[in-house]
Amino acid sequence: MEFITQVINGLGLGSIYALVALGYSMVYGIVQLINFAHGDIIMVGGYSVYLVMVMYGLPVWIAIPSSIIVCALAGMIIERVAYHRLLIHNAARISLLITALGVSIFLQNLFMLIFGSDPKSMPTIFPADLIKLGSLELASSTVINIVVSVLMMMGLQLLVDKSKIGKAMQATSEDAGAAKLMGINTNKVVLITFAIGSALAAVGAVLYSNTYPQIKPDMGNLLGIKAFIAAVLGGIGSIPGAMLGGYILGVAESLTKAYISTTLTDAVVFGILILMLLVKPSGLMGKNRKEKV
Amino acid sequence: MGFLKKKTGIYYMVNFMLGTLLFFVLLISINTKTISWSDTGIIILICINVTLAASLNLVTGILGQLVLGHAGFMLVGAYAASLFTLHSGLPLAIAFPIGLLLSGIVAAMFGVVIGLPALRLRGDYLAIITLGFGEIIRVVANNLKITNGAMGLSGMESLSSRRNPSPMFIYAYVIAIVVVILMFTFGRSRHGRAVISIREDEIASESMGINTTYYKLFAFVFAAFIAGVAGGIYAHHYGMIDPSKFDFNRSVEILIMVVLGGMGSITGSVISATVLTLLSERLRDFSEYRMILYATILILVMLFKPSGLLGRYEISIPKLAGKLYRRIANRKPHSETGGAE
Amino acid sequence: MHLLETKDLGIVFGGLQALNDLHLAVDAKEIVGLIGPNGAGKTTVFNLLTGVYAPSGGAIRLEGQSILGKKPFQINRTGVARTFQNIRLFKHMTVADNIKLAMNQNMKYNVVSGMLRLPSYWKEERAIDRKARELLAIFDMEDLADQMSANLPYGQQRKLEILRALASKPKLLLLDEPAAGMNPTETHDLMEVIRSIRDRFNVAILLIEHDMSLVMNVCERLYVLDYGNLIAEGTPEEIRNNDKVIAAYLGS
Repeated sequence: MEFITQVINGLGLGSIYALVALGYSMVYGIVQLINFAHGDIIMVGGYSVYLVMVMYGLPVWIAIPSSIIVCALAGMIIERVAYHRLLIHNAARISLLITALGVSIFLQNLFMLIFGSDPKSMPTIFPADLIKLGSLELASSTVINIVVSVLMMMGLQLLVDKSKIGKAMQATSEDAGAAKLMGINTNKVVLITFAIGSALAAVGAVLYSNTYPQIKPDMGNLLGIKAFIAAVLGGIGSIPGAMLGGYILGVAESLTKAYISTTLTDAVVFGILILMLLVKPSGLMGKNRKEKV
Repeated sequence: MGFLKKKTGIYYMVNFMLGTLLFFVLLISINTKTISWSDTGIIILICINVTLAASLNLVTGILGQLVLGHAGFMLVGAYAASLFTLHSGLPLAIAFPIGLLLSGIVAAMFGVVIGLPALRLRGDYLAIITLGFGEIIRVVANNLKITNGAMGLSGMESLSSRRNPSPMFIYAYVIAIVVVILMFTFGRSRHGRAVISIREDEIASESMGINTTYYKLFAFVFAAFIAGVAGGIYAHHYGMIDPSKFDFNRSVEILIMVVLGGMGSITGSVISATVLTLLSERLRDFSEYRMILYATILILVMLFKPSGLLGRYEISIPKLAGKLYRRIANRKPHSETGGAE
Repeated sequence: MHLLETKDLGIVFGGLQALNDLHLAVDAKEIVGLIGPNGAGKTTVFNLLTGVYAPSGGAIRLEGQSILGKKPFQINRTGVARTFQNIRLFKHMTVADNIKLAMNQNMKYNVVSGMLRLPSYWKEERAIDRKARELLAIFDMEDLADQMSANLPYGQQRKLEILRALASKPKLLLLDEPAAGMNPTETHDLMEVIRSIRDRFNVAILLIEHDMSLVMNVCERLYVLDYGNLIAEGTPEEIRNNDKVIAAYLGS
């Protein structure tokens, strides 16, 4: 019983990783860029909720959509200002990485200057009851996390498979040049991908703040790296892969915390990354993109 | 048409003499107290940063791989050298140089351990892994007894004192100059060509018989060695170290010097390391804006001149003087043919 | 024993059999052509021969020794050099340095000698500088030696790639569409050059080409690929009149 509870807790934690990992995967699938700044979008999301609820005293159902909108906007602005020029001119890989790094550092320090580096407490977003499922007792946050993330992924998969923009995203990800020739506005597609990825991160931020009600400017770092590891684990560029990777990572972390030791959890998580990159860099569900010679 | 043009050889000689001249000017000024104790400290810091920037430039500029945990090697070197001088029982004048050598070797060993698996990965993943290792090394140092955890080590003696202010300067400057020269000669050797070709086109390079794994590892480990030595000097100059001095921000600082100065340009790194160290010292009061400024510089440089201010080219005083001379000399014929004067 | 021989060579990409049961042989000092419509798998063959791709089946032997599992740089050192369909020069290196890079495997001075500029550095560097310029002289390009390779006009970039491949002292030279982008005069010159390279450097040449005038005039034998399958092999005369080949190019 205890074991199953831990696994489900892990799924709850993993849901957050999954949502954030989706953003990494989608952006990577489209422009082959690891968006270092993605983790910091979570931070932006967290502070948006904080701003709306604590500083303006507005209720939850205004805070969450505002956070999503703010993050989507932030993602789009970052793409336009920092990445767009480099992507258009086919800049070297390393230039994109450096810019992404710069954006990440910029965001963190900006928020540190504005809000101070001390952690801020978040109010409860969703009621914190214990939910009983048969003989299991689960925190409401765990259940909410899992339900929301599954809904989000289903929605995203529907969007990608059935909608026009989704097909455009798939095409651009396969072959941007061909997509352009087919009349797809690839610039717009990239922008929308960033927006959706960031919006998902915002949802992840909300769920995260509900589960661990404390925000600080560098909260994006650890969460971002773990979500990135989840994306790599599942296969970067793959949507179901991001979800799978997120859940696996969450369960691994939860079980390590419960049965091995709390201090080793980060080491285990990193160990998974190193193992993955050495054995199967394309991830569990990823496709092997061979460079054309 | 000879292999080494006479002109280039003369330029090298002039540059070397200028470097030596600068050394003696500084040395005398420091010994006669014309340069204050605190300013001497800044000069030493500049030399340390030049050394660090030159080493990172080897991996990120010349080889073209983004490495994000470079401060981790500095940390390893600093601790290695410090533990040696603190516990060896040898007089400082002997222990210090041995400690420096040790710091390089230990850092290089870490470089091998990290580089072997990491360099097989594509650029994006390499950046994340090296970032991870930088953090892991710092966390480990924070938690080990031998490194005294978060308190760090202190009590490292400096060879310099108020009465004799020059020894550390001599070490720092000479090491910086030697590293700069070695980076330069390496870049213009067959090994340097191999490393550059990997940056330019790894697939073509491998197809032309270059063992890319070997050269990538070599550059990485060599850079780690140098960073370790820089760490050793740092530890004995300041007399105390703790893991927070070698964190991610420090890695970013070194990266900025390389990116701004020019990825692949050694002289660019020298200039930007000097300028940024001076600015950072003079603008101590605004240190909370430092990281934001660095981040902005990174983004702007990538947007407008991705190869850095000097790009891949080297700047040299005799070359500039030569260009200037030619420009002036070219004006003469006009006035001789009697223009409207 | 053939210089190069493949048996049942095949590769699968994501469910698609890109190359199927290829038997191919090249003997020393031969000039052999590999032709076929676009997408037939010709460059894939080159990638397999140079170790860039690993085959899903079959054997590749160079002078009787299998090269399967060897890394590209090892294969180059055993004697196979290539040029690329989309020129892959080292753009920010000089013309001479591009060539000198390919000579690296035959140089001996170590890192320390290089960094400290010991006598072995000067001796070897002087020697390869001379050799590089001699190679460039074959194409009348010596005065371009110190130019950035990216600044060269297209035709000379292609020539430089060939020289670079030659500098690695191959026994087999793989040329991927060497005449691409050349006008008839240049193509005609290229034919002469290819023959003289074969004679002067004692190399066998396997070339991929679409320009039929070059292929028919220079190649002693041809292999024709279509959709990953070998549909014909023989002399240019035989191939010219082969129905299957005509059908493949014109589509039926």
